[in-house]
Amino acid sequence: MFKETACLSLGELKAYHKGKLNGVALRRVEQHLIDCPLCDGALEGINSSLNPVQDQIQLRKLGKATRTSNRPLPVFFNKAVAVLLIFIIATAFLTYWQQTKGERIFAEFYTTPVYEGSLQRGSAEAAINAPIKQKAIIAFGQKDYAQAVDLLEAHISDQANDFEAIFYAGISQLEERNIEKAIQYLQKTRLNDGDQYEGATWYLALAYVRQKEYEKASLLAEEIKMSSDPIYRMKAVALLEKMGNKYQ
Amino acid sequence: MSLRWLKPKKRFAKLSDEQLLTAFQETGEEQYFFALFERYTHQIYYNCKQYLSNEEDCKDMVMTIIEKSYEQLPDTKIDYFKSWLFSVIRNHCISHIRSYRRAASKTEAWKKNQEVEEAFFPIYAGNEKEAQLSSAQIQAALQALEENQRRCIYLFYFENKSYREIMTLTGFSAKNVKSYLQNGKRQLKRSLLVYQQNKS
Repeated sequence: MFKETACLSLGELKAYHKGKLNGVALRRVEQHLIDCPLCDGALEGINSSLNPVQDQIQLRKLGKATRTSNRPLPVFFNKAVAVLLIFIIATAFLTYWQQTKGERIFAEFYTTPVYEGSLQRGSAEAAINAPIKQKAIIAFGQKDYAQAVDLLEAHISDQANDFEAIFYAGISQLEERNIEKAIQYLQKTRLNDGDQYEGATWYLALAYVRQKEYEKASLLAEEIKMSSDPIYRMKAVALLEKMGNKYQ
Repeated sequence: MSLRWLKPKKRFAKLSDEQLLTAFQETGEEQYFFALFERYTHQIYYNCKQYLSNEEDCKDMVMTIIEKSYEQLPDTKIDYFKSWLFSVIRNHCISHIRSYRRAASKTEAWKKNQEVEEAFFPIYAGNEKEAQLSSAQIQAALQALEENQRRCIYLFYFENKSYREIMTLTGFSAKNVKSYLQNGKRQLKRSLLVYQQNKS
């Protein structure tokens, strides 16, 4: 008589409310209702409900809501999320820092060379002998590197051994971020033009830096360190220091 | 963020309310809390319906009760969960009705329920033999009941009649039959408890 029984399921309560139970099931429900105000109250609620369909919808919503409501999360969960966020942010920052290293070093060391070559801008002789190259040099001086590239390449197609033009074509491509092309032109100049050797090697090293090929850049910088030009030697030492001891 | 993975697992089905409660209080893990409350969502909802006629109020009240319980449970000493839950539902609903002064169509419900809370505390907890009460003492306790209560108790427990059959035999309403049974059984418990205490 005083034995405690399990609470009634929603199905049992509804079946009892509809008068569908008999025998043992009916006995269990009625015995339990005497002892359990919680279930008795629930049955009263069902009896007084005007819209059972609406109740069912509400109960389903409540079932979902109690599993996804904005209740406070346990401390360990919050801590785990915080640690994870810090880790993600730190990793993202490190990745970004590494990815932009080449650009940062490049920006620190790169300065656009001023044309000091055989052609003086605007001279009558230049206009007659090399009109395209002269236009290209004017475009280069005006920082119109796209135009300079077009004109210099047109000029080089006629005069393949004009390494001065090839050097400036390399610089213009470097300015235009066409690194592969820039490397080709600067490499060609470096190997063929003794007068442009230090300049071409220096800008080639910077092109490799921009391409994040630090090992190649450091080998070129080591070469420049041995050059007779003290300014390039200083620059090369500074570049090697900046890239890190690993490449010195 | 979806917390579907927190859905209570079936393996909790074998744990009692008190075991789930203790597990939640000791570990703070939500899964125990939800496993416990999922058992009583419909009871909470329909109990709220007893007090609150407005559908939205009812839904909000269930959420409030669950959220408040989540906050209170870790620091609350609870001997019998169902009894505690019943009190929480009742107190929140009454407090809500009072604070909003909305027409409560079923104010009788809480008056009745104020008396029945103690019915949750089973004196023998399913082991009648331990009580070791004589049939004379049980008979005496039955005789001490009010006439209508004794009649309903007798028909229900000794004649195995259903509520409907008792209604037919006695002419009482369904509400009265249940009331006589609940109050009679509670009175019987009290009397038997007194006998038991005197004996020990």
